[in-house]
Amino acid sequence: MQRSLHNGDTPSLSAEPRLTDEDARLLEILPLIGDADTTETAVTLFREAVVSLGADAGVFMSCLSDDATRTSLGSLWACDPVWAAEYASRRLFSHDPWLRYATHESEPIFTGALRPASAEEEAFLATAATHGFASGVIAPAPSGVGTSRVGMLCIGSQNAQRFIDGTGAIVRVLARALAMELHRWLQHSMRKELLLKANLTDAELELLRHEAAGHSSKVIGATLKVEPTTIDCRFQRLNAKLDAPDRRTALRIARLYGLL
Amino acid sequence: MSTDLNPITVATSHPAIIVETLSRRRIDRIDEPARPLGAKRAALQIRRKRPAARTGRLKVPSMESGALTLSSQDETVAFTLRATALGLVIERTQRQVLGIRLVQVLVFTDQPTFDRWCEFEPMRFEDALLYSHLRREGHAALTT
Repeated sequence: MQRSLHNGDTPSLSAEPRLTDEDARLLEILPLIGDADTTETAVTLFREAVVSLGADAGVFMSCLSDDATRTSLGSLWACDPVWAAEYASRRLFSHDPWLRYATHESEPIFTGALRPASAEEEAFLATAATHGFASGVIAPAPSGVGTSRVGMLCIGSQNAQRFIDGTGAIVRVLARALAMELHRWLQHSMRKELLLKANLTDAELELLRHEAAGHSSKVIGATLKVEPTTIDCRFQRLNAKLDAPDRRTALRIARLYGLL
Repeated sequence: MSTDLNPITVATSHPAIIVETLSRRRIDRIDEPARPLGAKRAALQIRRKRPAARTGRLKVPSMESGALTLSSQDETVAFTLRATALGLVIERTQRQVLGIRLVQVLVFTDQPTFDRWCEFEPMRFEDALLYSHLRREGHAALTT
């Protein structure tokens, strides 16, 4: 059922698409995904959400550009696991048209409307079609930091006619909501992992706040009543903990992962 | 590259102390691509990130909070296995010295699906020892 808006018409509530039992179940699942305390809970709820949307397969990815040399791609796979293995072994992330779309756009799109930008992207779409993505919806999950951190959900079906233009607004809306909740969960999960790995102290977070304010070692040293060289040493330790080449990149990582 | 302009003053951990700076450090904008490193710094970063040379010894699996982690000899690929009531959760991490670090999370509820995934796992040919260990641990988790 689709809502039409003519000149001056007020959309009537009776014309609104009705939620099915599956849609209602998905609305119950959504807040649980965002607040899931373990990976297994999140990925299991994701699988259930994919089924509720009437899809056969689903992939969610969160892409963070940590620094000039490194990008972190976290992903949840609720689909044929062979697709996940192929994606990794053939390094398909280098020619992923879903991710490219989500990096530059914010509106959900049917995969049939996606135009491959290269032969590799065309091959990607053909391979995906054989693994349960013959038709699908791509829902970007944008963030407040532009292209430095983006999320992308793709739900798909083996049925080439399942997700096409005219499928209905509800799928688009629910897919977008699911993408945002998954992005929220993955962001919290990656932040928790980094905090555990880096084991930053309060003093080190304070140093990062000084860096965020544009303070030099001399200024920080004067504030903390220590030598500027001591501040440099502390920054070196901090950079090593965050695996950053310099303090500006350390700050970038801290902001991207929500440490500050 | 454009930079953020930050306020000249900032409250520190001691609210009474307000620091005035005459010269401010440049801050990269967070919503723009990361600033490229200089040639010297990039080379240093590559050297730091390059995994240690192979010792010829087996990589010892680590067990933390109920999760078993298996790593390849060169530490570029790692699998974290967690047996749960919902099935076997596998977190596969693929690192490159430079470039993309891919983390994939999958859940397996039955052995045939797990075996099918294993057949396509590239470690089957790249690190046979790790692969056999992965299969053995996966089967054990799915049968208990």
